[in-house]
Amino acid sequence: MIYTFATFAIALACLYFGEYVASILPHLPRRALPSIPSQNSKGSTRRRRPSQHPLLDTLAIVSAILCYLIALILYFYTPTTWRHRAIFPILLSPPGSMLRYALSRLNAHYKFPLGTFLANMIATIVLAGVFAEQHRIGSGVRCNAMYSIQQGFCGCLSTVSSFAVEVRALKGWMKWIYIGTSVVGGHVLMLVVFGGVGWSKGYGPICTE
Amino acid sequence: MTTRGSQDGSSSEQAIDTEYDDPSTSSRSQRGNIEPPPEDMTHYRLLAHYSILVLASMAGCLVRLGLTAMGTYAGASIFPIAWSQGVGCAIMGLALARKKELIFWPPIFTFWTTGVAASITTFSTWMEEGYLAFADFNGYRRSGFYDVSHSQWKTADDRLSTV
Repeated sequence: MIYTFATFAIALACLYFGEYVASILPHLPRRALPSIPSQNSKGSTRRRRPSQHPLLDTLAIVSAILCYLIALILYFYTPTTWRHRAIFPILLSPPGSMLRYALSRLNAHYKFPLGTFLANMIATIVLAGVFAEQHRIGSGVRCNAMYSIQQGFCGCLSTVSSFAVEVRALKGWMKWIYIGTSVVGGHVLMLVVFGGVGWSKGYGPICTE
Repeated sequence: MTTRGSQDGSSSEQAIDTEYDDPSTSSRSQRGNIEPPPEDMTHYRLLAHYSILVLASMAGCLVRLGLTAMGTYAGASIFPIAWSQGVGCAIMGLALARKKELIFWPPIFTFWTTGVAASITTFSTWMEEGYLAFADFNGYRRSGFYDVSHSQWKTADDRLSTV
């Protein structure tokens, strides 16, 4: 209980802290921003639309390919301690982020931010299943793959920052329904999946050789 | 906003552009600030949105792992994942406050909010550690009241095999 309270309080407080930091940081120079929507309507007819940056788009796509390449190279040529601790999780993290981005399209259609809710719940189910599995098989690469799915895929699929922003912006009862369903639902899913496996099959120690 | 667009003649372009600072949709855009920004989403641009997430989520995941490792030490007064949650939410707040400046190229806004901030924070670990505290999974000797109120955590590093 105090854990959930502390996490939620930290999330909301840091959201305001970030906005405070933004208020004291200097602004970016206007000339560096080529196509910001300007206030006067005369000038706005001539400026470019925000979407016209094909060069930057291409750069983004190249960066994605390069990132995967570098991560794969690092995976095969680095010491094994790093590999399992850091490189394997980051190989699994982009699919989580992409899935969350795809789900976030659902947010606009309902009063309830369904996309973020679904992303969080799917991540919790996957993590509960993987965590339960990790207690039952106990060694080697499979164990580290389980760790990577937890830290990489589930960690990037689920989000607290969007959750905090949406909680802050929602009005009335919907706010409390959203907090309640997310937090209670997450705990119940952990209980059902992780606790269920534990009670029916029992747990061994984690990841022993 | 629509009157501005119709005055200028190029109504569709203007309607798309001026959605950024339309006061009538401010409450909605406040709620859905993490949504992809309203724009004419071409396939190429959508691909850019998705591919910028690769770099963002890799960086965010590394930051989370690093912060968790830095927060895990003997005698830690706060649970390690709290650092990640705080840093991620601070980045989210910073990016939202500077949305007007970041939006010149919409994927960069996606990069900071949907990518970096949301990858650093994690809801699933929150739920997992909360559940473990409720269930007293680590078997601390304490009365039932403390299962509900207090919490203990087992660090993620303990789960890593030493291969």
